[in-house]
Amino acid sequence: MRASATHAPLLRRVGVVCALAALALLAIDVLVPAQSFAQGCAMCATYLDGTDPRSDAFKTSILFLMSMPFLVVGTVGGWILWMYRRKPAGRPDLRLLRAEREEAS
Amino acid sequence: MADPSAAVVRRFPVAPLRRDRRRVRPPEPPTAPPISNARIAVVTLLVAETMFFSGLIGAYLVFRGSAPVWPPPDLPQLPLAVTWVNTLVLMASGVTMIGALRAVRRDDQRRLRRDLALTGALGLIFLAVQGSEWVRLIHHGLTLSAGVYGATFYTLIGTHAAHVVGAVVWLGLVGWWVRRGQVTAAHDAALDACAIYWIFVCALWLALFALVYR
Repeated sequence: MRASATHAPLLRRVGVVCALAALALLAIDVLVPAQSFAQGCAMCATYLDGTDPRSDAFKTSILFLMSMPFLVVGTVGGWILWMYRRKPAGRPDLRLLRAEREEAS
Repeated sequence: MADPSAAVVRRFPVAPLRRDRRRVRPPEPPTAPPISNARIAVVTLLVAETMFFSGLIGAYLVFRGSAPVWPPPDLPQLPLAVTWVNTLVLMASGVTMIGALRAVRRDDQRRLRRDLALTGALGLIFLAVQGSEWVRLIHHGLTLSAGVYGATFYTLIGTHAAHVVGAVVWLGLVGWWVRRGQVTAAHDAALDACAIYWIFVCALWLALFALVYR
């Protein structure tokens, strides 16, 4: 039997929790009044719109730091998905097998 | 006397109800979960470590990109050739660590001990070479307070070196458990977690080496 089928209820539950969390965040964002005028901090306002080499340095760094969480979560999520979807032929639980053998003998 | 209804059932077998079929399904062979708890723990740690190093690298990118000349001409150049060799030493330790992981899955204790000892030795060689190069750089004037260049260099490479120290200590602990016969094919979680951490440290070094030493 495929591992994905074995763990389907768990994955479904995780999906439901994630969807609820996303909905809650959306609701908070829509319902809570907040005035924001897309202001940058003093550092960004000073450097990011000029021809200063610091401008490019900041932009590179910001792009790098923005991409890293997506890269990390994507990598770990992909790994978890791959581990759950592949056939579980790899590794039997030797402790359980040993306990079963001991019970049988 | 034989039960006549049993003969009828044998002659005309009735398919079991759906709920009964579910009940009488043969038990599956016991398998470990696809991802062990130890792996989840160490991957969580590595996610945090990755973001920590991302912050340091982000700061490095800002300082490096902002500087008109990098590295500053009045400071000593980083030892590239020695560090290349040292990089190969660390990569070799990653290979021996994978060998130890394969050995424990085959329950080959002799090879496991040999590969773990080799991994630890290569990690210590890496640290010793790094330390000696640092001493030379400090003697030539590249100190932590020698401007942004020295500060970012020692922060990034020093933080990685601290992680290698942590990995070596962890490896020593696992080696101790291996000596006591506590790490086997059935109980390999400690080695598995340590190997993942070790390989992360090796991969991180490749990124830092490409970033800082070029």
